[in-house]
Amino acid sequence: MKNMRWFAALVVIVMVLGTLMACSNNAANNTGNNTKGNNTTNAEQPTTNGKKVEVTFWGDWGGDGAIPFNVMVDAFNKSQDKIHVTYVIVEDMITKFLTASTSGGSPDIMFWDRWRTASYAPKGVLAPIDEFMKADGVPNTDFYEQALKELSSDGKLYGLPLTVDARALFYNKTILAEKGLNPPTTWDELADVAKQLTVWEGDKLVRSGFSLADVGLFNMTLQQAGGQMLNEDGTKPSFNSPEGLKVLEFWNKLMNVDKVYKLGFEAGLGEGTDAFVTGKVAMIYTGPWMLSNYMKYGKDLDFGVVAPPSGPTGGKGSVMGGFGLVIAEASKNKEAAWEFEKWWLANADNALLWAKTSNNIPGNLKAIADPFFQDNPLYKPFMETLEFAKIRPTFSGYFPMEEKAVTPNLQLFMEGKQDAATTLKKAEEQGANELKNAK
Amino acid sequence: MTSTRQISNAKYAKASLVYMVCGLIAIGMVIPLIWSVLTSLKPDNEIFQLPIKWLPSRITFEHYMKAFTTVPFGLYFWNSFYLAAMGVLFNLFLGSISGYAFAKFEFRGKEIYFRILLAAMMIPGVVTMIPTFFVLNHFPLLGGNNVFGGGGFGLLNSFWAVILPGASGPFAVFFMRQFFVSLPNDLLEMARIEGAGEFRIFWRIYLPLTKPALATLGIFTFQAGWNSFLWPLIVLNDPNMKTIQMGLQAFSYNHKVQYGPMMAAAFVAILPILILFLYLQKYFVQGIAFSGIKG
Amino acid sequence: MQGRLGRHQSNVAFLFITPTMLLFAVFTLIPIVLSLYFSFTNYDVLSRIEFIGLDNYKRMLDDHILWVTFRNVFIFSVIYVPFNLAIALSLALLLNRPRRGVGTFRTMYYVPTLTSGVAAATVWLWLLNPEYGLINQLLSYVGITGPAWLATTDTALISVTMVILWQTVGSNMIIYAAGLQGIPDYLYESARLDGAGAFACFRYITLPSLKPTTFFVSTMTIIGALQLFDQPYVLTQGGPANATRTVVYNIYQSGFNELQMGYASAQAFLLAAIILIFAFINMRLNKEGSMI
Repeated sequence: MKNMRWFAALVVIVMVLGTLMACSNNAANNTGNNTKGNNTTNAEQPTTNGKKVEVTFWGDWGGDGAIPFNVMVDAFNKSQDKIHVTYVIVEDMITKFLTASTSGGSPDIMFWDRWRTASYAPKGVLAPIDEFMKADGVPNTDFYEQALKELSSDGKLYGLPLTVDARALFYNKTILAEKGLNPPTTWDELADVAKQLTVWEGDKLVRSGFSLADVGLFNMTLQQAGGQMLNEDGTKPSFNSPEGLKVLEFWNKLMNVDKVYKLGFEAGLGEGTDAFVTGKVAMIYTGPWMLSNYMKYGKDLDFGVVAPPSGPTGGKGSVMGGFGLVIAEASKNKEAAWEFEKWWLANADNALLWAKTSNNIPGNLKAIADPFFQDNPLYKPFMETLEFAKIRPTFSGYFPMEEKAVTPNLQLFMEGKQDAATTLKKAEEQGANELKNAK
Repeated sequence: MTSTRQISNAKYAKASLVYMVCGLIAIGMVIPLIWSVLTSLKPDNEIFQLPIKWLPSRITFEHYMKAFTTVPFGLYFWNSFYLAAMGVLFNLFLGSISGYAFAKFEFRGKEIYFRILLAAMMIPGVVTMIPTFFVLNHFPLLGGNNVFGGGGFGLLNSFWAVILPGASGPFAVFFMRQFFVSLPNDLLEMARIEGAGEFRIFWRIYLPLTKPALATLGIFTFQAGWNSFLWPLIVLNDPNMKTIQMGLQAFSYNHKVQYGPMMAAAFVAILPILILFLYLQKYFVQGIAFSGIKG
Repeated sequence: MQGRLGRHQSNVAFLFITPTMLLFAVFTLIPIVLSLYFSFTNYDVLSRIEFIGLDNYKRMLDDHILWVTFRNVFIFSVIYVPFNLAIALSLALLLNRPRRGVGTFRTMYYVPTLTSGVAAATVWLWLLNPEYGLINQLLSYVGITGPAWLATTDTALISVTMVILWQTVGSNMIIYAAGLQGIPDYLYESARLDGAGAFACFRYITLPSLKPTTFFVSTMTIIGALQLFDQPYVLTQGGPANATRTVVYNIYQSGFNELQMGYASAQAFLLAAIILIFAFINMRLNKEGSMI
């Protein structure tokens, strides 16, 4: 019975605490309701007069990732006295945005993974910014054209690019130097260098010359071969082509003839970064976001970057991705949100400040002209790559197609369970179905 | 003499065998946790070395410092603790009282109610999430809503939005019912003959007999509440109401994972459940439940 | 039931279940009815909700990924459920005797359920690495070249199953541990007086007394197995070639990433119907027909 009494006492304590908390929650609720029903207001805000327009800015980078956002928000808040922006970290932002949109609790402006524009803009939850751009005379030519295209839907522009990225070839300088090799510039050189860097001990792969772990590289490799993933109007896959076949033949050569890789080799080696950091993979395609990881975790890693090698007919290719800022259609402060976006992204100095504090390549073309990027041997190859990098097709069915039709079939191919022709044909059929269902 | 020694030898051998088996399994079970704790104590550039380096060359607490300065862990800890503790209290009480009713009483519709309760568990939570959000948002007369549930925010952005939907889960009811079913009915009849009230019979006689079950359910509901991420994220807006699992997300963004601080924070985050488990261990000692009614 | 006593009992029973049933009706039943309605619409959460009849259900027939995921979770469940129950019960029995140190062992066996998913995945990925992993190194000592566990379509699902077993068996172990506490000692004492051995005690006392517990554990494990969601994701991202993609993961993708909540709901009800069938078979196997 003693335990029962202890239990009852605990019940009472927590109930009391609960009531207290519920009260304070209500208080928090009320302040929230005064603005827009979400967490814009925080007691410690330096709002001296109540006239400032409150702007809520959502993003999902927390921890150290939030620092550059707060730097920008603080600088903006200090630069003028009419608008006050608050950065709110929302961990699973896209799910939260979906539910919040049904209850009128959406933010004013959002950090936005650009590829989602194709599926969200047609639903009317994002605000077009064409009028703002025209009124303020912000020229489209200041930004990467491909990035703007990814932020557009049905002829309207929904935001400006914040960052741009693309994959390039990272190589381990030490290992290449041992063999006296230069980083490859063509497919043939890539295969040759990879073969020479690979080390086997019997049937055990000790070091891979080139990572073939990610079949998602199909898109960029196809571009190098001169092919396209989709036809122009996004209704049909177009990778079941001679170019598509060339990619698979190239991969087959690397995997099964030159044996530069073995399935599953990387899993568990340097997990969370990748096996490149451990020196067990000599070359890998990845993006600028890995630069700081490799510097931080690679104890003896000395690496360089080159633009992706070109294909058999000299074609170049890489996939451009990155983030932007978009304004929510449900926002009641669209003008203020636009002021903030314009200040940050259309002004080259501010775009550069962001880029330097966050170690990202900015979407503003004037900002990337800065020596910070042009003179840095690690950034320079990315600058070259971004010249020709293309965004993914902007159709809402593209991602389901890649995820459910292309990747699984390519994985079967890499495992040797399916020949190249069947792989492309099946991926095409299943992909067409996904495109159709996404409408 | 010899025979007793043989017996004791055999016993000794058997016991050591049991300990060996237990020990081997135990190692397999805890190795990942140990690894993560060791990782949290390593300098950054030793985390991904190959061949894997288990022991750090020097022990560093920088990742713990980093973890605690990056996010307001104290606040998140308290929020999570409060939500998890409320979940435990509601589920233990409501789960056991209704589980008891389903196990020990006869009433109209008993089977159908119970079947509906069970069938509801078959539907995956990911599709009922948005409708549940609807219900909370349009809860009449609360959070600025009118009688028809319009106009305000209902229960959103309050801890009740997390507590109430999980207050008496079918899991808890089903779990407690199964334990009450296995208890004999004669205690109930004896107590009734002596004129004890029904609630008193439940609270004073049957509930104490299910202590091991309550301890187990307590651990489960606490752990579920402590680990829940998506639901609190969806229904709570105030940054001051964030939970520990949201805090843990702070160490990975933009393909970057801050391994050291993440492992440090993840380890600190499981300590409350571990402590609760150790505390409730005593209810798993054989024979405790029936010691009172034996014979 | 006879007269006043019966009516009094049933009034008390209703009083006891009312709070639960009210909460259940508001926060579970209404949402389920709503999502059942969604399953007949093209609901996308954001902009539209139009009745489209059985279109979502018809679409499932041609959705090859959907059937792959059903096949995956079916195979997973067939292996996972019996092994989980058997291992959980064995561990609980192993630690049921009041020996020195059982508490520590029990805690250690429960630790995988607490270990952060990322930490566990990191270690398992390394253990299962084809070239540098501990498991294949051990196999190589006895002359076996181990497979690329998580990277080939033939072995990925079974590897993932093993890891999830490791991760979850502790929960059922403590439910069994609690269930074992409910078996009165005198049953064993009198059996031993009658000369019953350890196996006979297990077969004729332990197992029958644990029937309600086993019914609970098996039902919940079946539900959990068929609703497997994102655990495989940290190990394999659902691959290779969808070999470890699960039904609920697929539903989540449809609803939240492809903005087709109507279609997601339809898939969810198909899954619920299938779980119901398995739960029913399980009920029959447990001969729990008296009540449920």
